[in-house]
Amino acid sequence: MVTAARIRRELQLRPLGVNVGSVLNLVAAVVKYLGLAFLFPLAIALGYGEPFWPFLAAGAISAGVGWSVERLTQGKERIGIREGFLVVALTWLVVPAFGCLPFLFAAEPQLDNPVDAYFEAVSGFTATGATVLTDIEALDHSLAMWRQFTQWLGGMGIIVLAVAVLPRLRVGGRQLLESELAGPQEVEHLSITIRETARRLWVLYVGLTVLAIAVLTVFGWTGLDPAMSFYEAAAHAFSTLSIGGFSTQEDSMAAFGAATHWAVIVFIVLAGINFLRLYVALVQRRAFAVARDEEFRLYLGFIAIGSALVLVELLAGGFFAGEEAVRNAIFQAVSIMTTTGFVTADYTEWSALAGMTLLLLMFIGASAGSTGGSIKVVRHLLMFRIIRRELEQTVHREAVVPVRLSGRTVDERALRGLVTFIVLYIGLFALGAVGLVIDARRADTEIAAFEAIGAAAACLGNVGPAFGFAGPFGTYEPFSNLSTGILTGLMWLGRVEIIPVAVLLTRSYWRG
Amino acid sequence: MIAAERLRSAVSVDVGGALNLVGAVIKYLSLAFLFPTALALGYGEPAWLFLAGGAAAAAGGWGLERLTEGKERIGPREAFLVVALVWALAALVVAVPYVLADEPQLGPLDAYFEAMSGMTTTGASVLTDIEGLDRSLAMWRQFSQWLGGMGIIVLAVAILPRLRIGGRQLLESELPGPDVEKLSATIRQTARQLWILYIGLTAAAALVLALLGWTGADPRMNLYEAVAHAFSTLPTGGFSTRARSIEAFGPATQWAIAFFMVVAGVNFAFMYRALRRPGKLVRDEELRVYLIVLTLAAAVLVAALAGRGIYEGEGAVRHAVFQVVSIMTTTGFASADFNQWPIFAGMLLVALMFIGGSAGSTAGGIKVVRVLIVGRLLKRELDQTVHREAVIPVRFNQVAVDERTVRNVLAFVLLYVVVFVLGVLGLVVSEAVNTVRADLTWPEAVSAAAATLGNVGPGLGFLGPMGSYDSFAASSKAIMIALMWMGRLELIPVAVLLTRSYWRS
Repeated sequence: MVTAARIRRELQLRPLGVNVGSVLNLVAAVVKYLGLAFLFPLAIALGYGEPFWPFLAAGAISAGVGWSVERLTQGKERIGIREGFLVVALTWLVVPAFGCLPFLFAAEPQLDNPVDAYFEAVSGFTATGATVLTDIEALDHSLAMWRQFTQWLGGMGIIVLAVAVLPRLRVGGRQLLESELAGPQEVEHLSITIRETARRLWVLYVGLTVLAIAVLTVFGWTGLDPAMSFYEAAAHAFSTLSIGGFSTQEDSMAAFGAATHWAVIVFIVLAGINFLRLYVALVQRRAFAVARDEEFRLYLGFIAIGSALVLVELLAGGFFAGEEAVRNAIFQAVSIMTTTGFVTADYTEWSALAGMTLLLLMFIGASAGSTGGSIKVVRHLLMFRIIRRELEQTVHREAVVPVRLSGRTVDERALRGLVTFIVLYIGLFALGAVGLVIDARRADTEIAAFEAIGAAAACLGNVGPAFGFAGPFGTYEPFSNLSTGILTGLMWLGRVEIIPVAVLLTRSYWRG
Repeated sequence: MIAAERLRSAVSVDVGGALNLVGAVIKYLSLAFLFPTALALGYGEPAWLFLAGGAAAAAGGWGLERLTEGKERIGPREAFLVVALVWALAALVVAVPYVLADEPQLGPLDAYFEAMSGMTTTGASVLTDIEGLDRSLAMWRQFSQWLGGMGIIVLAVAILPRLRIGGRQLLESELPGPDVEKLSATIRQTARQLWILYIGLTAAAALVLALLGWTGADPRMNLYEAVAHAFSTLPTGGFSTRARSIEAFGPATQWAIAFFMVVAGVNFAFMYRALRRPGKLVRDEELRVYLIVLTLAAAVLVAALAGRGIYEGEGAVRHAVFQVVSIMTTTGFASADFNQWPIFAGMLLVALMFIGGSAGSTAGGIKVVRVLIVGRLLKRELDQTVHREAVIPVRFNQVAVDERTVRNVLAFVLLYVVVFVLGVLGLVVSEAVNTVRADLTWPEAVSAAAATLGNVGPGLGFLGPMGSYDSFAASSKAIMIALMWMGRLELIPVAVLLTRSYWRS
C-alpha cells in the first residue's frame, strides 16, 4: 500500500514523458478491429461443419475488450514519437494474446498449456513459423487456417494496415510505420505520404497473395500437383507471402510436388524484396528501380551463394542428385535465408556443414521493407562498408569518406543506429542461446549447444525451424515453460527489431 | 623487370623501409637467446639449440637489413606492415629451438603454434607432456611470453635510436586498446616507462613467489618456478612448467599469482603515472569497471561453486577468484579444471574472454574501455531515438570522447565479432573436412576461437586448462595461429593490409 501510494506521488510529482493513455487507446483500437479477423476462420468452420464458437467468442472478446479500453481512454489520441515505440511494442504482445484464444477455447489438447498457445500465436503473428504442435494434421481445418491467417496478418504488419485504414492515424503515422517496418528506415527517403506508403504496401501484399493462391490452385486443378487443393493453396499462400512458414501439413512442403516447390520459391524470393521498390517495379512498370538497387543485387547474390553452398554439400554427401538436388538446395537456402521456414526435406539429416550453412543464412535475412525478419541484407552491406571506411581512414587520417548506398550518402546517425541494432541483435542472440542451455540443464532437457544456438537464432530471426528436436519436421514442444517464454520473447523482439523495446528500458524515454 | 618496376612505382608503401626495420628488430631479438643458453649450460642441457636459434635470428635479421639498406623511412603506413611482419617472423625465430630439440611433441607446425602462442601471450599449448621438456626449453617457453607481453616493438622503440622519429605510429599499432588517452611525453620515454614498470613488477612477482618457497609457505615453489611463472604472469601469458598449471602449487602461490594477474590487467602507462599520484587510480572509470566486473563474476562463481558443494569456504573463493581473474585478464592459468564445473561456469568464463583486460595492459580480448564505450554508445543511441534533436556526447572519465574514436571502437568490436565467427566456422569446417576431430563440439569450437583470438589460452572440452590443442588438424592449427596473431595486434594492422587503399597511393 505504501509503495502504491508512493508510486502515485512520484507520478504526480514528475509527469511521465509518455502519454500512456493515448497509447492504450490506439492499441485497443487495433485489438477491436482484430475482432473482425476472426470472421474468416468462423466462416471456414461453418463451411466444414466444425465448431465455430471458439472464433465467435474470441472475436467478441477482442472487440469487447478493445472497445471498452478505447472508451476508458477516450479523448487521448495524440501519438508522437515516444508513443509510437510503446504502441508497436505493446501491439505485438497484446494481439497474439487475443489471437491465441481460439486455440484455448477449442480445447485442442496440444495447445491446452497457455504458454504453448501464446507461443504458437506469437510465432504466427511475427511470421516466425516455429510450432509447439506435435501433430499439425490433427487440427480442425478452421483452426489450422487460423494459424496460417495469423501469419498473413502479421507479415506486412498490423500497424501498417492500421495506418492504411484508420483515418485517425493520418497524423503521427510515420513514426509508427518506421518503427514497425522491417529494416533501417532512415536509409529510405520516402517521397510519398505515409498513408500512401502503407496503402501501397498492402495493395501489393494482397495482390501477390491472390496471385500465389491462383497459381497454386491451378497446379492442383491441372493435375501438376495432385496434393494441392484450393484450401491448401490459400493456406500456403498466406504463409508464403508473409515469410511465415506455418504449414497445414506435418511434412511442410515435402507433402507437395516439385511444381509447387518451384512456385513457392519464386513467391518467397518476391516476398523478400523491399515492397516499396517492388511496387514501383511491378505496378509502375519501372523495373530498373529495383534492378539498380544495391540491396536487391546483394540479396540475389546471397541467395545464389547460399544455394550453391548447400548444393555442393548435398551433392558431396550424396543426399540427392539432379533436379532434386538443385530444387532442395535452392528451396532450403531461400526459405531459411529469407526467414520463411518452409522445408522440403529434413536438413538435420544432411551433413553438419549443410546445417551450419543454413544456420549462417538465418542471420542474413531478407531485404528491408519486406516481410522477412533477421538482420536484413542492407544492414550487412552497410556494416561491411562501415568497417572498410574505418580501415581506409586508419591510413588516410584526414580523409572524410561518406558511406554510400545505391549512389546516395547514408546519414551518419542512421549508420550509428544500424550498428546499435547489430550489436543488440548479437547480444540478444547470445543471451538467448545461453539462457536456453542453462534452463535445459535446470529442467533436465537434452539439448546440444548447437541446437540451443539454432533455436535462439531461428526465433530471434523469425525463421521457425531450427535443429535437433526443434528441426524442420520437429517441434518446440519439449522446451520447458521458461525456455518457451524465452523463445517467445525472442520472436517478439526480432519482429519489432529490438529498438522499440530497448528504448522502453531507458530512463530518458519515460521522463518528461 | 619492367613489370616489377611498374609494380614498385604503383605501390605507395615503402616495403623496403618496412623490411629494413623488421630485419633490425629480428637481429636484436637474437640477444634474447642468451638467457636460455646460459640456463642450458648451467643445467648441463644442450645449449646449441638456442645458439642456433640466436644465430638464425641474427643472420636472418642482418641479411634482411642489408638487402634493404638505405631505406629507413617509417611513416604511418609502413608501421602497420612492420608490426604485422615482426610478430609473424619473431614467432618463427622463437620456434627454432623447439624444432631443433629432439622433442617428438613438436613438429614444425606445432613448434610455430607454440611459439606464436608464447609471443602473443596466449598460453594455448600443443604439448601433451609439458613436464617432459628440458628445463631450459621450458624456460624458453615462459621467456617468450615475457618478451611478447609488453611488446617487442615497444622495446625496440625504447632502445633503438633510429626509431626516435616515426615510433609513435608503431607504438600505437602495437599497444592494445584505443587511443582514448594520448600518450604523454616523448614516445621513447613512454616506451621506457612501460618497460621499466614491466620489469619492476616481474621482479616483484618473482621475489614474492620465491619468498613463499623459502619461507615454507609453499614448499613446492622454488626459484626456478618463481621466475618461470613470473615470466608468464605479468604478460598475462598462461604458460606453465607444470602439466596441472597452478593447481600444482599451494593456496599462497595461487593468491599471489591472482594478485599479480589483476595488476597486469591494468593500463601500464596509467599505473606508472599513478605511482606518483595514487588518487588518480580511484577516479579512472576503466579501472573501476574492470574491478567491478571481476568482483561480480567472481561472486557469481563463488555462489555457483559453493552452492553445488564443489568447493567449500576459502577454497570456493580462491578457485572462483583465480579462474575469473585468469580468464578475464586473458592469462589462462588454472588452479582447478573448470571443465569439471557446471556448464554455467564454463559459459561465464567464455563470456569473460571477450571482455579482456584494460587498454594498455598486457591482456588481450576486446578490452574493458571498448566494452564501456560501446555500452555508453548504445545508451546514447537509444536516448537519441527518443530525443532526435539532442546532441549527446559519449563520455569517458568525464571527457567527451571524439566521435571518430567512438566510430573506431565500434568498427573494432564489429570486426572482432566477425573474425571470431569466421574463426569458429573455419575450425568447424576444417575439422569436418579433415575428420581428425570429427567429434569437435560447438562449445569446443567456440571456446577455441575465443581463447586464441582473445589470447587467453585454455578453452572448454579437450582443450581445457589441463588439456592440449594437440589433437586439432593441421589446418585448424594454422587458423588458430592466425587468430592469435590478429588478436595480439588487435586486428586493425592486419585488416588494413587487406584494403586496396592501403597499397595504392
